[in-house]
Amino acid sequence: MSQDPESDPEKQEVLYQTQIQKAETQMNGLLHQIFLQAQGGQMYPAKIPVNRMQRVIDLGCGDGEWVLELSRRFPQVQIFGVDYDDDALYRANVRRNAGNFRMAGFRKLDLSEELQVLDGYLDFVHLRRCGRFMLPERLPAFLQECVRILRPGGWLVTSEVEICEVSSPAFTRIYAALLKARVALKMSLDQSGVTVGIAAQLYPLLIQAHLENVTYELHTIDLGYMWGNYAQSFLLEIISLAALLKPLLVELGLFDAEGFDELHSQAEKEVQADDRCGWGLVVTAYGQKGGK
Amino acid sequence: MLTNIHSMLLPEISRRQIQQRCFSQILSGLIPEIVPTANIRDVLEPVCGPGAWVIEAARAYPQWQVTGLDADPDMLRVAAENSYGFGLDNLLFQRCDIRKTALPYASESFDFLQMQNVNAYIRAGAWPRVMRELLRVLRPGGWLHLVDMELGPVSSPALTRLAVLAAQVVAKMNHENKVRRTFSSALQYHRWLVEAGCQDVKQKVYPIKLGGFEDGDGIALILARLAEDSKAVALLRSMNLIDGCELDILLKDVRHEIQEIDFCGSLMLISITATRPRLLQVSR
Repeated sequence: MSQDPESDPEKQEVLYQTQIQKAETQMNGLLHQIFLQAQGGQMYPAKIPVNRMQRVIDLGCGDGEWVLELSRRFPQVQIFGVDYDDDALYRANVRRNAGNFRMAGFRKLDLSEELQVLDGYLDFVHLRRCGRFMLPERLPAFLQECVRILRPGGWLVTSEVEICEVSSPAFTRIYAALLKARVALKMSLDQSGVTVGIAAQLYPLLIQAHLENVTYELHTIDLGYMWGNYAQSFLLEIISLAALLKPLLVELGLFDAEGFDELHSQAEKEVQADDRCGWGLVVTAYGQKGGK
Repeated sequence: MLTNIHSMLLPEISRRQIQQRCFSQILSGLIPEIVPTANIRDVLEPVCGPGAWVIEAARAYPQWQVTGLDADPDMLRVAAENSYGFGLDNLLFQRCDIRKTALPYASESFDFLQMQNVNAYIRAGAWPRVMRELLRVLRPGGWLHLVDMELGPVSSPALTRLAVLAAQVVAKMNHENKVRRTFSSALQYHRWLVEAGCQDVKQKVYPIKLGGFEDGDGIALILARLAEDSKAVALLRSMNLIDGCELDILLKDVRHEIQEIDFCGSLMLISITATRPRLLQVSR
């Protein structure tokens, strides 16, 4: 952080991007629980016949929560998890080895390159929170790769979370600044900075990737007091991410340094209040590869 | 005469009727599942509009005595006309402006109160007083149900921009200077309900799909909202938040973008229930 941002703006930009991605990787476990709760325990859209499938892959598997949970439900299906984050993969492997998951496996793959997977190899490609490991501008090409490794008739399922409203004014201000920072870092698909924008773009992106039977499902997340600790921890994680990015937020002229500190502690207080209220949305867009 | 009123109120009426259809579909019923219908006798909707909800309630539950209030006599006439065909003797309409006057009822007169989508009507500053008044006429153990809608994430940049402008209009109307993203006051309901002395305050948020091939209702709702809002558009113009020509282009873009086949969007329906405790303790 001691590096002068002026010295090499491009390098600095990549640094910030990596910081955000790292922080979001750490939120994976928490978000897995939030996704499950939002979807009423469902791990994928109801019409996908996992029980009749042979091979499933989770791209950007993080700590492997989704892979291992699916493997627990369908022990006969071969399930792969891939990620580029060594720490996350280590944790995933530790968990796998601690349980009885013979058909689940994890591998390191650079998702920004061509995937080292055969054409048409998979029945089901699962892609959750792709914004965590992929810059939005690369998404169309990446989705093409996902389609390539699917067998004809196979399913691509993408999902993303979007925070909608939170009653804490301090949190709302901090989050608005984070969204603006994402726009500046090319990590947003909503140039107005009102949302991250990836969630709402999944459906159009899948249509543009020429999938068939494309549709989407919506599930709400309670960010108020109804879900207790999950929501609170999630909001606190977002606030710490903002603290991590403070130099950038100040540099972008969104805060002065002292103003930020004050707002930061105010936001921490407000999101822990009993009468906190708020909601978010999980968007799951999915479709099927054509030709049979 | 009636035709005339109809044509003037038409966008508002169709908006409220489409909303009502959406609401009862999503909430799968007229009142939230959590509310025990067996104990309900007297029901009040303090801002009933063209009467969609009260008429359905009176039809579905003949044993209830249902009352609909509204400040607008024309709207009440439309509501009464809408109900004629059903021969309902358990439904009453009455004129009352809850923003300005107390409710014309003795304390503890109702078992269930319904307030849906009234934020264009009741400004943020008036809500705490309104809530106390609602609670006054509610019987101990009675239920209050508030329903509101907010726009969720959408794939159309123009609609996103329009929503931000609309939220700014609401903020100006409420004399707020802070940044606001929401149209309604739903984020504050919990706090106000608790401050008014309510118990068991529970919130549920339901998503409504806008766009996608299989769903026409969501789009119809937005279009109805846009069509209705010649008033809102005029307001937007008068507030100088956006240049007039730019606004025309924006509205055109919205209409275009939400009808694209790959449009994706969401509305959030917020449903909050609360009960009045036996002993009402108002904290201020």
